[in-house]
Amino acid sequence: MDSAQQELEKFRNAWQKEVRERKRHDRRSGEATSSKPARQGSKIESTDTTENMAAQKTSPVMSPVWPSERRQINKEEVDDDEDIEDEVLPSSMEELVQDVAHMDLNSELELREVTAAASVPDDSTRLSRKDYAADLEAETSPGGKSDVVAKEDPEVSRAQRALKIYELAVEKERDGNLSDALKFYRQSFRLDDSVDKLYKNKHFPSSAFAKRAPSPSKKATTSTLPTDKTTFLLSDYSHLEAQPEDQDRPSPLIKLPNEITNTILRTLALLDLSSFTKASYTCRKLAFLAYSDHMLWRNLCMKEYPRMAYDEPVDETETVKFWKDNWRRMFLERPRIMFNGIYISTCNYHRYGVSHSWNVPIHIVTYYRYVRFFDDGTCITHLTTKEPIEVVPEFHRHLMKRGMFKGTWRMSIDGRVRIESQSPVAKYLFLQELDIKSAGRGRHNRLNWVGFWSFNRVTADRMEFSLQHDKPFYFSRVLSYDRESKSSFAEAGAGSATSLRGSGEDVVAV
Amino acid sequence: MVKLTSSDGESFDVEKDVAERSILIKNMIEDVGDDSTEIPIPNVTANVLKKVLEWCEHHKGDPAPANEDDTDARKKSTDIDEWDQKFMQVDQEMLFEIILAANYLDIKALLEVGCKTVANMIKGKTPEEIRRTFNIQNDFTPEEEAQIRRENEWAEDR
Repeated sequence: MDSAQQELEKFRNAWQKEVRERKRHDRRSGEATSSKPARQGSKIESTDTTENMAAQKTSPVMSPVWPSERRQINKEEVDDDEDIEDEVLPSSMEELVQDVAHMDLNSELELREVTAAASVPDDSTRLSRKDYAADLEAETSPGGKSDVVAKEDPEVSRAQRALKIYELAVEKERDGNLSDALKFYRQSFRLDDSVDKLYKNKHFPSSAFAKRAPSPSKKATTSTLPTDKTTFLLSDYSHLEAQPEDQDRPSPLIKLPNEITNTILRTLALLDLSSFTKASYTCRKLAFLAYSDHMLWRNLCMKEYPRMAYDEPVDETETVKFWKDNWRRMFLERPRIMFNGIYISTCNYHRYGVSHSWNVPIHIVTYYRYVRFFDDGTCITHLTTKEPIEVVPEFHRHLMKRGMFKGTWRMSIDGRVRIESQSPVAKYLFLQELDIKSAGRGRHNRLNWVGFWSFNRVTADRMEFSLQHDKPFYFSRVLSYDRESKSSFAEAGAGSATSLRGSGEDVVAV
Repeated sequence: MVKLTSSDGESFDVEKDVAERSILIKNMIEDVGDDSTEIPIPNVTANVLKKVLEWCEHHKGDPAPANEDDTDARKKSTDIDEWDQKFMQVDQEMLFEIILAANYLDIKALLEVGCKTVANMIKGKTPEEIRRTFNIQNDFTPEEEAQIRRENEWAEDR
């Protein structure tokens, strides 16, 4: 558990304590008389801590929970993905700070109570109290998102409702939506001040609280959680029935019971993820079934991740806990190599030619690096000036062309790939280290260079190559490696990613 | 021999090991303990039952499905064998009737073949083509459709 997590835990504890204080205080309402000294000072102080708190709250997002130690080394590396987060974060921090600014009036009132109740003068406690006051206000005004959640099941007890909101908060926190997360945390604690224990019992029953509540099946817990905006949006559709376009014609597909439709969608997803996605665009019912089916995403994970050549064996059902048992999220976020295509790096450089007249020709040289991975831990690397349209059809394991080298690959769970391949000279091995990243609208479709070395098998010398001209690899799906089918490339479409990718990918868009 | 009666009253005399491809019928026979009684199949019409029994007849010799773990998706092949492909070349209504019957009669392998067939019909089509093929009304608001597409386009050409 890193320090940010601890901070969060501390915050939750403080909250709990504070809410308890509050309850006690309520019971003795009226007893407490205000004592004003030191009010001014502590107010300023707590505004400061608010900013600290905001910063602390954001840190879990900055350092994703990775099972490997590797991530820490990479932390300072800035890549595109993190850039996006950077853009988002300041605004939510601002919101938080603004929130507090609003509350100044209330806080004065609240602070009076702090001193009266003689609570532990913990900084974060005081901060929370301020927010709490604003929350009380918010509570009286209906219409907030959280109210909707609370209203969903009027039957369930207060504690259950609190738990639900708490779960939502966890979800938001994981999504990086910190202001909402904070809001929900507060709300849940207000409903039940031991909600964090309830949550622990429910989701982490192996902890010290294990005996109090039996663990519900993982399936049940995750399928009730909204995975992202889509499913959140779709949760309203669960009861909807799809309608036929033409009332006179039969439409048996949408009349099927959900369990059978799920089976079809699961089959389709394993068969062809792209077609599955398109099927989900057809109507609300199919979209809802597609994105709420826990088993479907589990199947996809179980199909893909065991094919990765990990350094150490990976237990998928353990690993998915890092994504809070949300298989879809794991599938989206956990790096993986794709086998239904080829990774291409297009490199350009120019050099001056030799001339016998007054003009000096400049040669622009384009060369390509290709890597095709196989799920048995082998791969083929290829360095050539030939374009993808020429090369890809002959990228067979059994048909090694000049300049193609066999290699082996290994990867760590956080997406660092190490390729060890033969080289033109027998005594040298090439070692390439790459990071799996996402580019454009795709996922896990880019390999960033980390390093490139040659290794002398005789002397055990290692020499690093300059990566001056080398560009990242981008993934292109290949439907067939046969020479006959010229249209063997997937239509990558005119998506933004394609145009970003450079000339190597233009061919793919043909 | 086992006697099965469809929902519309037609009777079929079937070998026991053919009928027992259906777990539902198998359990019924075991419960009754007497092969000679007539077993009503109230959810399946004669023409569908005939088709299903044709499939059972052809597959009666298949090894009993191992109690495979549903989660081991890797082992699952998406291929359909040739005979089954031909068998499934029926109109859409019949195809879905077979699927429903397989589900009701608990014939796992037939249900699987049916679902694969439908999956193959969807494969490679655009959303609009899928809607047309299966007569589905687009009930999204434009905003909803845009939202869902935005969040899932990453998978579109994978």
